[in-house]
Amino acid sequence: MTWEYLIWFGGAASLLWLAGALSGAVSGKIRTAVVLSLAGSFVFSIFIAGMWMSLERPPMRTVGETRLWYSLFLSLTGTAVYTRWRYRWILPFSCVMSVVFLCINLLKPEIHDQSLMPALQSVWFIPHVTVYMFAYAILGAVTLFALYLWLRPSGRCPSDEEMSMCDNLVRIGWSFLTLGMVMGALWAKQAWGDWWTWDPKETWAFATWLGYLLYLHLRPAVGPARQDSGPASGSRMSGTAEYDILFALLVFSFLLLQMCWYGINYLPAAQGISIHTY
Amino acid sequence: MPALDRNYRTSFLRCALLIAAGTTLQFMTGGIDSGFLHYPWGLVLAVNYVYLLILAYSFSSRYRWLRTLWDDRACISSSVTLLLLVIVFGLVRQEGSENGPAGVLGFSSMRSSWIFCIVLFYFMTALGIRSVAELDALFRRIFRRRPFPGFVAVQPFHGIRRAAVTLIHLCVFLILLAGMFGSGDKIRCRLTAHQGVPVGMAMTGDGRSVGLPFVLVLKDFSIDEYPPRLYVYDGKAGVPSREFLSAGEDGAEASVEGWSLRADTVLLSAGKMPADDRYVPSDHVGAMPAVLVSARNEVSGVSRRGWVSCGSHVFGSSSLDLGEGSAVVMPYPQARRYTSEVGISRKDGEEREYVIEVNHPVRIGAWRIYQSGYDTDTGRWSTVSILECVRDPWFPVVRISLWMILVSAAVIAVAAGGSRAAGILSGGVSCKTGNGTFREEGE
Repeated sequence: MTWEYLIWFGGAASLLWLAGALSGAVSGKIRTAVVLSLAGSFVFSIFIAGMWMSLERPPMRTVGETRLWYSLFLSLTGTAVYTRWRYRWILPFSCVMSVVFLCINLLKPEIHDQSLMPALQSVWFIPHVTVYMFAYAILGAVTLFALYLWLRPSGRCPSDEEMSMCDNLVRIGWSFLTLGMVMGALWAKQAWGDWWTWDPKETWAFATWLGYLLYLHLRPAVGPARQDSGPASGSRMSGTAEYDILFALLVFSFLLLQMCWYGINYLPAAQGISIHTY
Repeated sequence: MPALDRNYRTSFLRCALLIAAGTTLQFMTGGIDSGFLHYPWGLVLAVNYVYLLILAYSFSSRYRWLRTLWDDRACISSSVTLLLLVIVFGLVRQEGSENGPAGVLGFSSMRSSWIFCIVLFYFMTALGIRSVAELDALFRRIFRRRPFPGFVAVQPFHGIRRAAVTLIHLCVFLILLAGMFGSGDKIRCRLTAHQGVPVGMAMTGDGRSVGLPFVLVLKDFSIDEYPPRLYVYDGKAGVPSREFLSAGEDGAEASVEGWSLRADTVLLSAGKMPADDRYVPSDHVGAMPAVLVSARNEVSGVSRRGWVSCGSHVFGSSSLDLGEGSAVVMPYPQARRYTSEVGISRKDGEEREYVIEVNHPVRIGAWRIYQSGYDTDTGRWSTVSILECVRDPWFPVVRISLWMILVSAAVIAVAAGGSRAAGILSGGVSCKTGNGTFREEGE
């Protein structure tokens, strides 16, 4: 198996992912959607397995090789989240992300051999980046949804169903942020002996994590139905104005996320001292 | 929002007072020196602190002000304050300067600033007492085998999610505890190992010598390199090309900056005499990759051919002139993997050999030895290995806590929320009645 075959396997996988996404989004046939998406992931994994055998090592050493795993894990994660939550837009979402990385591999062949420095050659590298990417995607989606709920022309209060989707997406996104942070800490200890060094990327990742955590903890106090929380606080809020705080917090947290994601590349405080600026 | 004002005003006022206290301490004493938390005092204080947290929970029903240390308002207000400080942390360059408002307040050395540490301590305290409360509630439910009070219908994920949340609270608390009270125990020092020379001392970042509980001898240092790369250097712009030719084997070709490059002959270990202009295979010290390159301009058809090498501390480098200030150049090959074979003798006489490489440290008791670097001037011929020695006795606490958080976060991702069809927001408490919902009384 060589990179020349990527167009065929990737193309077939993309068609299957697309078919699964359309099946889930348009016709709502859950089983068909899941089977098609998994079939796409299976076809793609055949390519990865073939590369593994021909290279005689796991294909995890070059930038292009890691992008293969991004495509695979993003599609699998999207299928898993769709199976659990049945939100129709999840499969198209993960399909687009997987295809984007596939296209990067096809259009930039120079990354196929672009080497990874020794510190990046770790079992944690791909999972750490993949869960963060998925978290960013989910939290981006919930930010758009929150903006819609907050600013829609009708101005009506969000329904239970709508807030339920908001909460679920924030929990999923926050959980993936947590997974990414913990994987990063375990990797960092293995690589250079410190769990956490307050590198600017880590600092802003912690700020993002705290922002969404605040949302989850504020939810018991807002809305006609209380959330799953600890002891009664007696500090419940009521009224539509309190939703403003929640939606504003989601938007603010997404700004923190963007600072963590790419803002630090331009932040003066991070220049020359962050190992994550690339 | 009268409910918001009444309930949160005092909580945020408390946070403001803590910041004021931190500011005063920062002005009076400068930053915090965590050296006093070395063993056994860090451990003694940690144990006593946890005991106080348990007492605070136990007496919370009797003394209302204790309850205010860990109620929802304390948790929210401490989280908000911590978030604001972390944002400041991210915005201020951490260069340890004491100039300007940020320096005076300790924000440019946030890790050792009183303000940040006090707020983090308050956050940790609220989290700690809350964790004790949740553990107590969990154990009561498990050992008394009672369902949740007022339980009406089954919510399949509720108990699992509750347990996962409790575990995350506890483990985050333990990580903060280890980070704060273990900071005096952590030692980080650099050991420069020369081949064949036993070393028992290392140097910390501030120039202090540290005696190690073992003696290390570097037996061999080796580098596995990526294939050499050839770039086209643009003399006018003064920058190399973005594309490159990866010259891993004879016949490798690539188009770089309008030049069609071909590696006619690739020697991964080569040298040349000063008078010669061709490279020959060599294992002499200082031998480096050399490539016989053919370059053809894709527009004008002009051809060039010659040897290109990165050179070393023994052999000079060579480039292929392409005219107009451009040339084909080869930087030092990138290291794919570098390892140190070491022999380590412990104080009890035990002697063993280890291989240390990046991402694969070696553990000697509470010490871990990491491959940090090597002599980049000599590259593959380096007889020096730079190793980082880190002593972290709280390692098991943090590692187990991190793994527990990993599992709990995965559980929450799957168990988050409840049935969409039933309209339950999180599968937890709902004031509605009907299918799939249930009511839960307060604590």
